[in-house]
Amino acid sequence: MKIDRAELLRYLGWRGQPLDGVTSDSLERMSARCLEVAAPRSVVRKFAYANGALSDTGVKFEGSDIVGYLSGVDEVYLIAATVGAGIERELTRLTAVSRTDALIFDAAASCAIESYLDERAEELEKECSRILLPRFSCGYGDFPISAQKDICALLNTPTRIGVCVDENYTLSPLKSVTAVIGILKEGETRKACASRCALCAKTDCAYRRDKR
Amino acid sequence: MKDFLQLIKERIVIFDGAFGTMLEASGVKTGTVPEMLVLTDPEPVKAVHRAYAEAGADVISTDTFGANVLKAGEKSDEIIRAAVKLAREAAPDKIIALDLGPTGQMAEPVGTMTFEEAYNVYARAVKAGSEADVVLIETMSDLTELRAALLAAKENSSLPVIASMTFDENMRTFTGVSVECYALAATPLADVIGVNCSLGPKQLLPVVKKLLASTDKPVIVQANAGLPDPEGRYSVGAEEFARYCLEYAESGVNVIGGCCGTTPAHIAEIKKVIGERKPAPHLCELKYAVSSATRCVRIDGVRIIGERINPTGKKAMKAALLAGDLDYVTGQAVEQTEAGADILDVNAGLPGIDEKKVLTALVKHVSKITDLPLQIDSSDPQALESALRAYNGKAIVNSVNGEDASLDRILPLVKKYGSAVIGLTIDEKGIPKTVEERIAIAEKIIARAKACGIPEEDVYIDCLTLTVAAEQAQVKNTLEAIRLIKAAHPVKTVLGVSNVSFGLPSRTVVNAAFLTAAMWAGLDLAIINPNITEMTEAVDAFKVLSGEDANCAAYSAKYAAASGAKAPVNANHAGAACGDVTYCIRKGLSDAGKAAAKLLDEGVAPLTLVNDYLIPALNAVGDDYESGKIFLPQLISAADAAKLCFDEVRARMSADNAINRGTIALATVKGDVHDIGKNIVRTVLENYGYEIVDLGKNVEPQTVVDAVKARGIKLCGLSALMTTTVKNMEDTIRLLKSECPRCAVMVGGAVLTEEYARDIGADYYCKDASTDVKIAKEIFEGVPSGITKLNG
Repeated sequence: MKIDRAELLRYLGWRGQPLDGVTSDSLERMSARCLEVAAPRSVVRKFAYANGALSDTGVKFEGSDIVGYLSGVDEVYLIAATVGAGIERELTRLTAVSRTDALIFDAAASCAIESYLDERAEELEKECSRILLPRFSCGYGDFPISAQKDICALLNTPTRIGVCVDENYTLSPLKSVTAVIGILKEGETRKACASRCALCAKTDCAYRRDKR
Repeated sequence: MKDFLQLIKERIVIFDGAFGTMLEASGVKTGTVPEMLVLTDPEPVKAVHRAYAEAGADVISTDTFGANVLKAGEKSDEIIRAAVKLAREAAPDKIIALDLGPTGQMAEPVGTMTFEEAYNVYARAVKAGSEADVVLIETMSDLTELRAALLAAKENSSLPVIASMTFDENMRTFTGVSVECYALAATPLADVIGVNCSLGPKQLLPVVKKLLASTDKPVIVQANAGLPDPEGRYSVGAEEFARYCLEYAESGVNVIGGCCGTTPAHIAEIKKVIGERKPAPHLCELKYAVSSATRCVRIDGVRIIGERINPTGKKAMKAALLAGDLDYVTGQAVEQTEAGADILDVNAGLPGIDEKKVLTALVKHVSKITDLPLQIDSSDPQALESALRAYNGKAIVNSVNGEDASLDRILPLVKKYGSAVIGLTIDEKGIPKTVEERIAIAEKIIARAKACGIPEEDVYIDCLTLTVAAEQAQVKNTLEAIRLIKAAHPVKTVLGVSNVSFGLPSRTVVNAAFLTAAMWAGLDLAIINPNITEMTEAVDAFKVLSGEDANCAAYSAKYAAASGAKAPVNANHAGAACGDVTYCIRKGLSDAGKAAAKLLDEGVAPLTLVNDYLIPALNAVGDDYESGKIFLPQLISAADAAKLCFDEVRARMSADNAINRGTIALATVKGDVHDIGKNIVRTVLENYGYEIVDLGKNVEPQTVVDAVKARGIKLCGLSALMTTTVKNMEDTIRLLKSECPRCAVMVGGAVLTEEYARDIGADYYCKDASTDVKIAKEIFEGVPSGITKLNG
């Protein structure tokens, strides 16, 4: 797990403005603090997949984007990960001490959870003899965040990694992510340029990577 | 069938093993509420119970782990009743445990579930399962939820109650609760405490050993059969599992079973290895300690209790508490924590205040800001009980005295919640004059506490600090009483130190000398203002001289840096133009406060500083932000710097003269806990001189309306980040519009657009933090904002 400075600045809405000493200092300190406080955990489970549904579970995915993403796939990993509740407690404390630090810490924690998930996905790819698709999370395209409820239930996230989902489909702790990772059938190939953003039809998203 | 509590005294009791993984293995399709099977297809459930009974389990757990109303819905009670009956039929000669897992919702402050909501969920489940023999509350990771469940079980049934939490390899639960903190909080509320799930039997061993050393209650352990792989397979076989169980038994564990991945084979093997073995004794060495949810403080040397969160004699805090503004104490909590306090006293005693409500809110609020244990300071038993219920740890109750009325009313609360208690050596006859009278009262308090079941280790005697200017001879009596009490009883002592110098000049000189003398007499807990350096220095020096600070290590670490010639260079002190307040704000430098103070000292009037320096600087920063010359962190660091200037201005203005351009309520709507945007808006608006009533996150529509009504507020800002919570924003606006039609509503948040804002009835849409300032100026000063008014 790492916090990439360019990625951190992207989350903070940076568009090349000169960085002063105060900001650079806070970026450094908050990145270090975030890595110190983070207690990353994840839970993964493999499910059979066919026709938009996880066979054997009664769970069917809503939305055409997830189904499109999973074409050529007969098994998926469901994954949930968090950087822990300690991050949330530290953010509350920082908010009382310095709003600047709190703002940057919050963004740093977002970078941390994404980077942790990338690493877990890489490890899964190494362990699995087949090709994995880039992860697809609830809220990408028209895949509704309500699917988080089923994913968390199937993975037992409250007892396995301490992640709960509430009636508004918000994950607690906030810096947690759930995702589907498609496992391609033997012989299928991953299409070129399969970055997570390229998969998503929400071209007006403020955080889209290929946006200029 | 044996009585559970009787049986655990006689021999090691064996629980059953996993349920979910057993059903899965049998090929039953369970879906997302597996407990529904109890109603729809009970035979496989019965078969699992029978298999465990045959394997030798003494206790069979009902299939109700996720049957609470939040997970299973309205069928909850029916499932629980049927599941208990089913277990009884399958294993008529066994003890039946009502198995209750977590609600699946995160409790406050990380999540949105309140203590009361959690309590009601468990109270309902416990009543539905009243035909069981014992209540098992297991796989918990949050202390709020666990305490709510334990109190619900104790207050709604007469069955024995078992508490079991889940720990990670870092020896903490997922929400950061340490083994000691768990033991201190749960021991008074449960009959058996223990650990289960998450780890295999080997990895759980250090957690179990720590727990055995932290509680005097019987201990239960139910490990997983290792950790599952992505295919859901568990790796620890029955024989290996049972070998560790034997080690548990030898270490003093009283109740042993299995969690995820274990099978009847595991239980049979445990039974084979354990047999009729008697429990080995375990020694609790965690004495003299208090705790928050995440930090345990042992009183094995001098500890500092910060006294600052107390409205007595503090005008600004009085006003803040009366207005329900808890934020005022945030600074006090942070400062005292950073200054080296070990425990914080929390007091909300004010005439005309709803002490029960405010003290409880204060305890919850301070617990969010600091991980220090709290001392709850009140003489009102109702306020105390409400605060103790809400407090996630082992608190100190401040205080009882030698009067029967005080002891009768307060000691039962101390016992019920397992707190420590301060005993003031004063009674109906007033403040004693002699050492002997003080000792007599102390001994009465100690004896009465003991009779109530409160051990001496949890009684802290206060021999009373009197004012030396008025009663000079009494100082020696106080010190002598401390010495004698410590020699005669295994209690701790506590003193409010600073009262000694009342009426004298240079009070710190006398306070520090008295503190040092008291520590040498045997004082353990010093109630002081830790922000006064001389006081913490006296404590640090004492720890060196008394040998408590072994090898002077802590002292050296703290003071070696301080004795260097120069203060460390702060990155914020860069730049030649430090003295210029405008420059400091624009660059977000912490020197801004000093620059403002200098101008004020030179004779610039506070309002002139605001109007001619601060506001123009903030406007310039706002313009830079809008034009993209700076980005968000720079806008906020400028606001942070400006805040330091406003603090200087406020310090020099009388309360009636304070700058207030208007009062604005801010809230993140019900269901939403993403409050970073709201916090940014607050910072910016405060700096323009607006008074902010910050209602926090996850705020009920009615709470917003109440605040707006109470203060006659004309502008309210609402934030929501999720598409799902915008609905609650709409409800809040509708209620506001019908009950407070004169209050304008501005809304913001990632998923909102101007159109969306119009549709839900808002007056203004805020695309960023500087838009809010323009709207406020339009509302309060009539300056046209150029921002579209959406409705009305």
